[in-house]
Amino acid sequence: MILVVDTHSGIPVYRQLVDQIRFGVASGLLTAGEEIPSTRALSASLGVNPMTISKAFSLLEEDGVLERRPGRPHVVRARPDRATRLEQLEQALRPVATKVRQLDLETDAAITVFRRLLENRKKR
Amino acid sequence: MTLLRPFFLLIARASVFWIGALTLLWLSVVVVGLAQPEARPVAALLDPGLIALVGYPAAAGWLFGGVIQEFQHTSFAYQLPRVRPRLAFGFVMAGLVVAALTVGLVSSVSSLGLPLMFALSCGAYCAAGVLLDPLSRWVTGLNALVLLVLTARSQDVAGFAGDHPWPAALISCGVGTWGLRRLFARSTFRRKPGRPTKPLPGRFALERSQDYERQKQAQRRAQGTAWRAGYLGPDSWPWVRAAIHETYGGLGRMGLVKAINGAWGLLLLVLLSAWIDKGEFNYVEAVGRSLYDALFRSPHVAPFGQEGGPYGMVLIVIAAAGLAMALLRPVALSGAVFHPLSRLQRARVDYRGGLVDAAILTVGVGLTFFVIGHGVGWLIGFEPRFDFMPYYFRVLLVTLILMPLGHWGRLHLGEATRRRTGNTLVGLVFGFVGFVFIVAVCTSAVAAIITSPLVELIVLTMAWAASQRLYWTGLTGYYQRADLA
Amino acid sequence: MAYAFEIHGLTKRFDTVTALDGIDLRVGRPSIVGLLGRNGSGKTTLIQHLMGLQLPNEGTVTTLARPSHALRHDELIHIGYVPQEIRLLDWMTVEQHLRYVSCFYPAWDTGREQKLLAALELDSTKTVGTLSAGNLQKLAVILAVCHHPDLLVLDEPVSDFDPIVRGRLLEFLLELVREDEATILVSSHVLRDVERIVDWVVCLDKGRVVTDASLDELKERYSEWRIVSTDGALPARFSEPYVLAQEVSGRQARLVVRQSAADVAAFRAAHAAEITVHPLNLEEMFPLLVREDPS
Repeated sequence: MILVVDTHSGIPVYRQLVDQIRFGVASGLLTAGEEIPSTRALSASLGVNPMTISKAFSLLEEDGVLERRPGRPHVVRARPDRATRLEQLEQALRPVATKVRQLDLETDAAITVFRRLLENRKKR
Repeated sequence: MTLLRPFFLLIARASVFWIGALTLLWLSVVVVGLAQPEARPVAALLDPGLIALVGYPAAAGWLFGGVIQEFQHTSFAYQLPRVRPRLAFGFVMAGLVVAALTVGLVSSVSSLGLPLMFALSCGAYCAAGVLLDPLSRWVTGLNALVLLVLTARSQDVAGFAGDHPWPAALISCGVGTWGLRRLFARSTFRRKPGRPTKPLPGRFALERSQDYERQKQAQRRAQGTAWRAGYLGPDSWPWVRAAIHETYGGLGRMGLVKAINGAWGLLLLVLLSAWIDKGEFNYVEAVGRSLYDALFRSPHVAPFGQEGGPYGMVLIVIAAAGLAMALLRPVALSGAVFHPLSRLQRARVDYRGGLVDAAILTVGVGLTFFVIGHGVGWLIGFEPRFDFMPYYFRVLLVTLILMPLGHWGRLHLGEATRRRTGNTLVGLVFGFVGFVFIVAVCTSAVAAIITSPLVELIVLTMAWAASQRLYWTGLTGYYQRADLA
Repeated sequence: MAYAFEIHGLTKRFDTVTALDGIDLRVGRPSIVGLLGRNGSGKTTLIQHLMGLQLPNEGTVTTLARPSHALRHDELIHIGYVPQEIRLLDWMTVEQHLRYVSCFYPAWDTGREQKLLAALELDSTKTVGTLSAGNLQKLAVILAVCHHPDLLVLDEPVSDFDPIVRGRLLEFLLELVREDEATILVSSHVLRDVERIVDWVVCLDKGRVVTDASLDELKERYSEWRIVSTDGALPARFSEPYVLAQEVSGRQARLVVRQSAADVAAFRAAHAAEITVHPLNLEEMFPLLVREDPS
């Protein structure tokens, strides 16, 4: 999986990594049992402080996304259940909801637009 | 008044005053010395009247011209309104006053007419404005040559001026006009010096052109000697070796040659002195004799102590060399590199570097007097005289005893330069004069009080040990308490 | 050894000026610490105290478990230092200078030296006196890292580098942390560079420590709120204590807030407003860092 970090955005780098890996696992880009590059390798390839990478990994461990194996790279645990995936979707849609309210549109109209987008995608 | 103000504001500085005062003092000593022919056997070709007549205005012109040069090549000077006429007016006014004062002073000694004397003074003043010309090395060199000839053959020049007053006045005015034009021309103000001869020493720094920086870089090829060593370790002696490398390594293998090359001024003096009283000798003999005289006894300068003995110049040279080594180029680790040394180790390296300095001075003095001095004497067939040697040895020992003063001064000089407090140049001048004076007093005192050579040797050695002990205590204290950056 | 350096109550006065005023600081290892502050805030003075070059008027400074003024050769060979004002020995070539300084340290790594010369594109046959400011800085950095230091102190190291060399240098510093487990203290004004590599930020202002926190924490501590009112009315000035800076214009407002103390729900309810939260990067939050009190 390709990880991308922007060190100059105000979002902490560890947070960017956690989000990307979590999304990768949820979306199936990373499959269960797959090895994640080591702290050292990631630090070198992304050009960020190794401490930051370890921090991201330990957070992902706590959340049960990754599994630590002493002396070897982390591996991905099982794909998260449907409830967790829905939670991620909700998080992604939250700014959209704000936009809808600012544009002063009623809920039904917004849902229609959203449905059309989802179905268009399927047709192609 | 507004016309005069810019010039006087420029020269109203402590350093200008001190340089001027010292130059005045030095010139006066020379002129007064020359003006007493019965005390000096030779100097037949020197005319103190003419030297004073040309010398005082020239010194003033050099000083004021230097101040103007320093200012005129800054990036902002050219844009100032009417800056050239204003400065020129002040410069000329000051020159007229100086010339008038000089003529008043000299008129009783010289046989020349007053207007002619005034013309000569003014000419010397104006020409000396570009005595050290930052824009051209040739002008500087030519000026120095003219000045030397004027001094060395002043009798002839005075004679010519007395016989042909009009041509002499015309030449003087022409040279003066040339100097004025060169100092105040529009193009001079526009240009930045490509090869800056500093018009004045010390803090009178010139802004330099890009061109100069490029030239300097091209000149700076690596020339240092190679350094081969393994890990230096925690001991201090290897670091003293490193300090020697840092201090003298930059001179490279040809370092000694270059050092002599830098002393061309002294060489010129020897040649000049040979030329002045050549007598019936050929040139080789005359040069050799001058060199020998310079080292052992000079007919020009009063002997120090008893009649026919060694003279004070030797003392001044040895003492000044000792102080210069300690103060300006001591064997010490440069502040430009970060050395992984504790404060105690730094003190130790500094202390031992001082010992190396003392050794170098001793060897240098020995080489100069025994090898060069007696070598030359033997070459031109003089009978070798060793009776001055105890005196030289005493001066050397006293200098060695007092050398830690110089090392100590350097630590604080460095600090003063870092913090940019005080006038370093004036401090240096007074330091040197003071040091030579102390060496002279101590040497005479030792010679007067102690008569037995053995006792003298023991006392001086003990004094040396005591001074080293004191220096070491002071040094460790300094490194315990001082901020090093 | 828990801390690379520890400072307690460090105060330094020059004549009448107080350059450092009661500094307390601890830095564990390994870590990359950014020392930030405006001109004259005391960064260089602090660094010179760490190196034992200056002595405190009050307080103690401990570097690699020794009082910094009493650092011995044995500790100093584990420290690398790039001073702000680099001079070096003009008359040597780069190669000669490297050979010379390599004798100071028992563990000089020629391989790393060659690698860095190539990476930073420094010609080792040149004379030090002819080097440009940027190249002189490169040499100073190489001289400070080839002995595998445990503590590397860099006083404004990247100011004269072009972006490509700067990138390579920063990458190398990260490598230093990975390979040697070194602690690095880097003072800089170039906040974009610092942001890329540091994990801890110390800010000085007028000789005091005003910020001492991890970069991640800082990024989570502050944020910018862009606000659009839903009922058309916003106050002329927001008086919430966590609002640090504000710009109100009609129905819209831009606030810089202390996120950790803010309550989004309460704010939304009180002002009938939609809030979009944007993060702040180091450059944007720098004015907040140097103005704020540690309390």
